[in-house]
Amino acid sequence: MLCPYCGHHNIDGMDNCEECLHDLSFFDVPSPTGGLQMHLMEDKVSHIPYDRLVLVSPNDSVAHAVSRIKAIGIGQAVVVEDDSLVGILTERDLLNKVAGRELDLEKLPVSKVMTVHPDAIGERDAIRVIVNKMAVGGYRHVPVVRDGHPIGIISAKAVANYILKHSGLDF
Amino acid sequence: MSIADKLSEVKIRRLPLRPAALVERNASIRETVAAMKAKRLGCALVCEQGRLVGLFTERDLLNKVIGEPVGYEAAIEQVMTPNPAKLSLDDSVITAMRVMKEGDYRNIPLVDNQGTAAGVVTVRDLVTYFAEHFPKEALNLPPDHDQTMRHAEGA
Repeated sequence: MLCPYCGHHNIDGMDNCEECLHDLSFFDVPSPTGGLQMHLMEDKVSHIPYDRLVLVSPNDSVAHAVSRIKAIGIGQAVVVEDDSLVGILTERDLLNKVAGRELDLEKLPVSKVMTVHPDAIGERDAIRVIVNKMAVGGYRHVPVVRDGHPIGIISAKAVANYILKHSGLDF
Repeated sequence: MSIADKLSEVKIRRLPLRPAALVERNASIRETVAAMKAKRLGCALVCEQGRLVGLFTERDLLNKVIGEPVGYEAAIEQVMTPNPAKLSLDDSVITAMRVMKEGDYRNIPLVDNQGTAAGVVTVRDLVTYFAEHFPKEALNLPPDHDQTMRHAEGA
């Protein structure tokens, strides 16, 4: 791989030119040819409709968080402290850590059950970033953040519907 | 083959599906939850002599069990969704995507010709299938220059 700045011959896959240290990482970004591939590369995360956001504090009780997410018919709450994302409480957390145990949900704080520091994405990330996180990390819900503040949450279902819509097969 | 052709032609049985959690309709909620946890799945197929009669999902757990006056020893048939939407292993991937969209489902039980529970296809299986079709775009991301490590290396 020849450096476009100084012409130094680098090993393929180098992040920076060995000679002039210019950034070469953009060579690894494939260029889209069209169709769904282009949507995947160029559309931003904000093209996907966000799920409704329920914000709770780590000190809130699990009973409180559960009643709020049930009231609006979704399956997860985003946990914030000083307006910053610190966790996510999902149905999977409830299945794994609450179901089948004799716990007083009024006294159990969200912080004991939530998934701490979940992976999040920025609203200007490309769609492929969220597909990557869901496929590799196995997440079904990924919070969208702006300067560390959660502004939305995207579900795997919304991503699948987006793919269906842009595959040309949604009839 | 384009992704559109692939989604319409590839059958659900070709996906790397995970083994489903199966319980009988008189199993307790506790046993069902244990089966779901053991299989690391968000739903269990409720059967009667092998035939699919209901579906119990994490959403059912949230809405009908957690914080509700139902004990974990109650039978799963009291809180399951009876006669759920189902598909055959020979339906196409695109059919699964459409049924999920129309019904707002995350899990669709799969049955064979005799109505015997044969597995489950989840929205995660579909997103993963899709990502694997576009490995360069979706799996092989360039480095993130702003990335910081949460833990010291090797810690």
